[in-house]
Amino acid sequence: MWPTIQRDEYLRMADRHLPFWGALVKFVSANKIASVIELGCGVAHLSHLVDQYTGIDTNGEVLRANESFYGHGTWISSDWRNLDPKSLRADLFVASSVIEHCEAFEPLLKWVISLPVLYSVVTFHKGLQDSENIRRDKVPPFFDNFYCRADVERWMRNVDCEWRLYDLPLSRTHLRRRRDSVLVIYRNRKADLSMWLRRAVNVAS
Amino acid sequence: MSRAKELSIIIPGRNEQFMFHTVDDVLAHTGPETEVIAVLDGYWCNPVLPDNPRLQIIHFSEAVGQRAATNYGAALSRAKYVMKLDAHCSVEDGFDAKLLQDMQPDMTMVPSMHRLHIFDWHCNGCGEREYQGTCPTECKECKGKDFTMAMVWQPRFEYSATTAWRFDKELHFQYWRSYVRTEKYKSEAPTGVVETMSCIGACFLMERERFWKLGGMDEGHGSWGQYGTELACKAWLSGGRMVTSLKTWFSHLFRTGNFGKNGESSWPYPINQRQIDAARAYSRELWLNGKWPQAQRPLSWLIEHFKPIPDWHGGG
Repeated sequence: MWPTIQRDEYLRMADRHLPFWGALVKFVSANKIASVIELGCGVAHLSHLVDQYTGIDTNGEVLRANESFYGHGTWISSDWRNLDPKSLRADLFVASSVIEHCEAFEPLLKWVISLPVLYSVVTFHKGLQDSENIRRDKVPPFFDNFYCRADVERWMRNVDCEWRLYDLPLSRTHLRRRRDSVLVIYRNRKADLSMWLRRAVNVAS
Repeated sequence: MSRAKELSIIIPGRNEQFMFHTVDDVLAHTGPETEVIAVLDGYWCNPVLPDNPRLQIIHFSEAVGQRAATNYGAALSRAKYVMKLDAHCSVEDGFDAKLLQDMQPDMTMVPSMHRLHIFDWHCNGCGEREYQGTCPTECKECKGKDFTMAMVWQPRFEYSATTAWRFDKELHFQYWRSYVRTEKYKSEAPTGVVETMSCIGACFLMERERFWKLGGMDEGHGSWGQYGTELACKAWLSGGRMVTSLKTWFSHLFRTGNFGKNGESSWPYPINQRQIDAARAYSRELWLNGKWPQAQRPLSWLIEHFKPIPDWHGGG
């Protein structure tokens, strides 16, 4: 599905997650973030904010549209699994609405942890599940997978990095009813991303 | 995580008319363990590159130059081997497997090279065809002025493949056709792999780890120019070797002869004489004055190794 959808559809999806992107925009602006890498970049929300932007997506058509719209950036049409993470250097890495489409969460998180970036943000839209007995038939439309919170936390405790997992209602359409989970991996604790995420939610609600 | 491919073929291009054809050709003639990394340096490919799980596309909004584009492609690769290939080339079926079967960790390998006949100009008035180059202003037969590019995409097998190259005392790239008549060449040829002093730089293969050990492509030279000399000196002076595989070929479009007839630049990667001179000066400083820190051998060793070399040891 992803390689064929149009930029307008990405924009509609992004609109649903407006509080999340609003928080990141403020975080980038306030903390002198100079370079961003976005995996599953879609419409490339952050590209106009930084000098060095790298958008990665399997949808080459949307990358061409982005370049035409923003006029700058590095655009990579590829599956993340083909890319050596060590070569992707930036201040901030974002993977939003990506991990739900992976077969398992571990390979992507392992890849993210290998990135030489200061802050990595991975969203679990519609949240991590509390039950370890996740019913496969309950996977929402357009999602390929659901993950259990205990599994993710257990796995993260065994890796050598500083991280936080936040539960926040970041999707505008489900602002009060459903919480999303946001994993932030820090190599630099000077700026607390959670503050910006919480502020964005408060403003939106 | 998916298994890394065996070989990444990095194809950097700037305003390259034949990028699509090159990528399509390479994907069609290589196996499932080979991927293509097309680096679109400041432009988008037209026609649009095909969707293919073995194809990755990198696009820079602002051109970074051929050396930097090659380095970026190699940096993203997870394959054991990396190859750089110009974006106006075709390859033999199975050429990846044929090259890799003889690869050694200390090798920089190039395939034998043919000229590539990509297109003719077809006169829409009388059907006369003119060999590729700048679009003719007038048909030699009917004086018509309406031409269409007719794709040919065929190596020119009527000419023998080039398998040996060298550089002269100024470190300028040269073909070395007489080298194939030397006893050294004749003794190595039956193995299918022969040593070569230098290469053209349009296509080369080495282990990815070795590529970075040798410093990648040195962007101090500028975008391009002195490509073959840099590769050759790094291969030999690091203690390794540069070899030509006689078992397979690639074919390459040379934008010479009919190209640039009206004084226009025939190079998709723009370069002017000042940049060429700068690349040569940088190259001479590096190699003639022994400034490359990773060198384990002096340049004189390489000159002795291939002695007698035209220009270096008389003749030309």
